[in-house]
This record gives sequence, C-alpha cells and structure tokens, in this order.
Amino acid sequence: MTVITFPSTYMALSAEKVVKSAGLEGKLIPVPRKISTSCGMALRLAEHQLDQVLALLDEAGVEIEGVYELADKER
Amino acid sequence: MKVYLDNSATSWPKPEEVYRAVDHFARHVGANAGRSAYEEAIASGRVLLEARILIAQLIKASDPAEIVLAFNATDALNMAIKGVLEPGDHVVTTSMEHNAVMRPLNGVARRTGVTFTIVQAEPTGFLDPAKIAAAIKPETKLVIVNHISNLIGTEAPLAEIGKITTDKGVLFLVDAAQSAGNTPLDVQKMGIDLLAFTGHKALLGFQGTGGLYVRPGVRLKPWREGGTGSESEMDVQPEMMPDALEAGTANCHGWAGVCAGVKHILELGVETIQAQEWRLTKRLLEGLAEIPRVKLYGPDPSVRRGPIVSFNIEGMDGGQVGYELAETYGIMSRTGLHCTPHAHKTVGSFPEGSVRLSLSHFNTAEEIDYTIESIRKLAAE
Ligand SMILES: Cc1ncc(COP(=O)(O)O)c(C=O)c1O
Repeated sequence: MTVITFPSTYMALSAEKVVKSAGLEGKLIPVPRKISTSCGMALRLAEHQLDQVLALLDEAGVEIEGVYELADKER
Repeated sequence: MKVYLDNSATSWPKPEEVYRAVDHFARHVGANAGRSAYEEAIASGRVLLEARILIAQLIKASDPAEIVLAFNATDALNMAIKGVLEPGDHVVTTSMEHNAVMRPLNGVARRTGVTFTIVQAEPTGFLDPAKIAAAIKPETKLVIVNHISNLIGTEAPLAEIGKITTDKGVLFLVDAAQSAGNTPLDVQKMGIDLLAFTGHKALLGFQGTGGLYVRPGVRLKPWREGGTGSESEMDVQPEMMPDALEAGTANCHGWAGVCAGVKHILELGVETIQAQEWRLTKRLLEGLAEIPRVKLYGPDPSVRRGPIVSFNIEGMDGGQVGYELAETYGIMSRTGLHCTPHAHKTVGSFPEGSVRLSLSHFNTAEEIDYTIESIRKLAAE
C-alpha cells in the first residue's frame, strides 16, 4: 500500500481533489501510527499510480510531506 | 405586505440552495472538519476546501490557501489590523469606515502607539485617491479602505488606490463586508494585499462566517491561536497557511451555506446581480427624491452605487420613521448610526443618524414601489 502524507489538512484535502478530478484512485485515511507527520490524514493510492499522482500534485502546487510503502497489515 | 430592506445588516432571504445545503450538512454530515479521517469528517473538510476555492474564484485570488476562514468581517479585520501593525507604524484610512475598522485601529493605537490619518471623503461619499497618496508617510505600513459604504452605498476607487499602495510599497487592506458578492472584485488587478469579507451579507450565507484574503508573501502575526488538527505535537501555532491564522472548530454548516451562496452568485454572475440591484436602487432613489420633506444622503440618484440608500424625513426622528415603516407598512429597515459615525459626519447626518434601506437581487420592483408609496404617506402625515 502506498500512502502520501501532508503538512496540513488543507494540502491533504487539496490532494484528494486533484487525484479524484484526474480520475485516479485516492482515499484519505488516518495516518498509520508508525509514521510521524504534521497532518492526521494520509492519501492512500493505487501502487502503480504513484509517479502519476506525484506529478499531478506538483503541477497543482500541492505540498506533500512524505511517501510511504506499507505492508497491508501495517495500517 | 412584508418587505425586507435590511440586507446590509444581513441578507434575507437566502437562495433555496443555501437552506438545503445547511440542512443537508446538519442532518447527514455533521462532523468537525480537519480532525479525523472517517468519511463524514473528510466531507466536512471538503466543505471548507470548497468554500476557499469558490471565494478565491469570486475575488480572483490565485490560490485557495490564501483564503482564511473566520467568523465574520469584524474577526477578519481584527486579524488583519492586529496581525500587521507594530509599534511605530502609521495607517491611512478614510472617513467612510465602519467601527469594525475604527475600533481595532484605535485599540492598537492606544495600546501600542500606532498612529493613523483619516482621509476625509466628500459629502457625496466620493474618495479622492490623491488624498490617500498625500497622506502616506515613510512610516506608513497599511492603507485601509471600505469598498462599498454601508451608509450610502458609494464605491471606493480600489484599483486607483491599489496602484498607489503598490507603487509606495504599503499594504492595502480592503473592507469588502458590503461588496463581496454584489460588486466585481479582483484582488490581483486591484493591488489588494488583504481583503476582509463576511459570509452573511451579499455572499448569501448565514451569520458566523467571514474571512480574510491574504496575498502570498504577506505574513501576519496570529491573532487567534489554538487547535488546527495539524502539527498537533507542537505547542505553537503552525506557520503554514491557512492553519497559521485559523484555530478552533470551524462553523462547518455555516460554510456549507456560503458555498451554496457563492455558487448561486457565480452562476448568475456578479455583474448581473450588480445590474439588477442597481435598477432597483435607482428606482428607489428616484422615487424618494420626488417626495417633499425626504432628504436623501449621498450622490445624485443617477450615480451608480451599491444597493444601499439612506434618508431622513424632515422634522421626524429616524427611529420613529423606522418604527412606523415596520409597524404600519411591514418594511424592515435600519435606523441610527449603522456603526459608522465618521461616515454620518461626512454626509451630514450626525448625530441624528438616518434611515437605511438596503436591497438584494431578491427584492422586486413592486416592493420598491410599495416602499416609495409608504414613505410618501409617512412624510405627508
Ligand atoms: C462596511 C462594514 N464593515 C464591517 C462590517 C462588519 O461585518 P460583520 O458584522 O460580519 O463582522 C459591516 C457590517 O456590519 C460593514 O457594513
């Protein structure tokens, strides 16, 4: 499972909007406890779409904090 | 007949979609925004994001993160004035300002030694940009201007003032409490650094919503500090916008209403609303101008302005006129000083005050004609 974390709720919600508007998969989930982050929401992606999503977010000016690969049982 | 002509206090009625949006939020969403990641909480956060996006579109801000959500225009003006000013700073403002500007300004002046100059507008409400330019000194940090007078509806020349403040490197704060939603605004073209708006007047939402546009690069000291749902391990306010200036639980259902109100405005078009309101306002001005004993304030009835008309009936107390209008004719107005004593002094209605009629695009020509006839009868008594 791939998740992106954000510096603020505003950025997390903006990211969700950008990803969904592009017809890609993106679901806001509580940040898994093992990740330290500024905002309690993370965006869960379909794995093979990470590069595409990062490019979209960059283009839209959405700031991210980190990208994590998690085994499904870790969440 | 009941006629609501107190839209400058708060607009009523609201578009049908606004009632529906608030009802939907209250029944089916309910949750707080930005604090959890279950679906309803995320939906609540999306409402706030949508409000920022729609308002940014309305005032032509480049980035929705520049729209800080607050609780009314007063809150936003306090945030701007107290967030910008430091001891030793000088401010230029005008004689058309509301107490929402004058009181925080006098407050910081008294507490921190900030000084200010009040530029006098003409009795017609006209504000000469050259007088603003002349009042700017080397220590001037901020210019504050009311866009649409809440007393007589006259419009300040924002683009010209914005050019002056941009040239002189001074911050420009606009009080758009009476204009956001019914008068075109373009914060970028007009050189506006800070713009305070309120959600419950021409934006057609409910009380308890307002906000501040902050141009990127302008840093304000936080005025209200507290929980944001972000950087929760930190003891201090986050620096990222909009969290830097937002704290505490937002008025989520209120913002759901503002979203619906702004969508209504964007669908109709601000210019269409402005034209519709001006047709009604002009009709009212021209009708009242013909009544003996009625004294109208502000420019000639032919001069376009916001949907606000102030008058008195010679020899009658304004409070009495307002009371009779409501009791006998069902017309809701506002009398007194309208929180704007300097503007009353400017137009010549201080200390007695005036009767204010303020319209929205939901008023009808029939209501306006009925109002003119009612005032004619009252003045003939
Ligand atoms: C020009 C002006 N500024 C500020 C305000 C304050 O707005 P609010 O009551 O939403 O804080 C008002 C309205 O009351 C107003 O007319």
